[in-house]
Amino acid sequence: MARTKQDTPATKEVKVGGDKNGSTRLIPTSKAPRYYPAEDVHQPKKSRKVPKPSNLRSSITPGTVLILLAGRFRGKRVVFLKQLESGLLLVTGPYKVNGVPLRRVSQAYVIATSTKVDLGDFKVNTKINDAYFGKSKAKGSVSAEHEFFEDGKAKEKEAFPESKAADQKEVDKAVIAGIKKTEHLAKYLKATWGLSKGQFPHSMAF
Amino acid sequence: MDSYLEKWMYLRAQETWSLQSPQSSWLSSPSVFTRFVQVGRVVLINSGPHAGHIAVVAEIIDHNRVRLLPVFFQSYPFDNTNPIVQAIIDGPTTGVPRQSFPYRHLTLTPILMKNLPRGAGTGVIRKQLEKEATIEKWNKSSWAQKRAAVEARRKLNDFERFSVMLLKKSRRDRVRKFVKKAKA
Repeated sequence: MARTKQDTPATKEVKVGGDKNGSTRLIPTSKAPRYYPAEDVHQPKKSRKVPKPSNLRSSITPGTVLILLAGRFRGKRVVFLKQLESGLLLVTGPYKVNGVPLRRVSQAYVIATSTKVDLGDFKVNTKINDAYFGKSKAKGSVSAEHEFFEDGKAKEKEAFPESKAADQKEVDKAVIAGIKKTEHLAKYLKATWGLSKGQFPHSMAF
Repeated sequence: MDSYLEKWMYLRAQETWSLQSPQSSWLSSPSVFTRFVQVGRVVLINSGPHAGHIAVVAEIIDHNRVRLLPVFFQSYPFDNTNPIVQAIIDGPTTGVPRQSFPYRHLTLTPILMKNLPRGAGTGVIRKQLEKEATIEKWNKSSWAQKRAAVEARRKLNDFERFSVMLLKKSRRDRVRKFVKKAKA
């Protein structure tokens, strides 16, 4: 729709009447605006700073059991898989054990325990990166009504993509194999963590 | 100055007396107390870098705050710059170096090394400790064992705490079942 500069030349030739006017004249195709700001508008400086991904705490290594402290799964114990490029931690419940799916979490909101799950030489598929968790871009602007209702009825929930479910299964297989090596570890991961009276996290060992 | 010296010598003599036989000299009737601050008393240290360790009282520097007048202070053989009641303690086999220590931060244990002379050196104390098996005596006491248990529990990590919870649960369950069986 929008015409580019190449489509329209900046000037055009028009014929002008009168003997002493030289028959033709170049004039701009679009008139300059009649009004313009009297003072220069300040252009904010573009920041070229990019936040560095946070350094991984030395207590967190692949297989470390973490306690989530914030978000929907707060209080859950999960297994750390790897640090993503953004610095966020990739964790899994595993989903089959405690219902926590593959998920990104900030290490500021976890307690690292000294318990480790033996993952062997398991490597997470490289396709599971930050983009994997990103939302697919919505096409154009959609009204809220259109988004949630269809023909006056609530829209059905979109099914969880099968490919992602398969990825989850693949990761969990390796993690669960490691969990089975230690007695009570599955039970431990299934249980939620909390503080009772007289317990202070700063004076406790994890 | 002479009068000060006399007074000091008098007090010093009294102190030495009282150290040797606490029950008889500074209490006219037999005391109801059984633990005294005395040479050879095994004490538990409650503060500082050696908190939780035991040591032996080697010598009593002072036991009366009022008596700690600056003049007497200087006359004392120990460089006691802290106007609190202090004792020299020594724990050669518990890793506690010889040092002066305020009573406030010590707890008296019922263990007493009876044959320890006043102001004994580290070597003598070590020999005596080994001879009387004092450390073993302490370690066997329920007090020390309870302390060790508390310490061990405190050091558990999250998973171990969880495992303890499971074990306690199973114990409760078994007890409950046995009691039910016995009652029936």
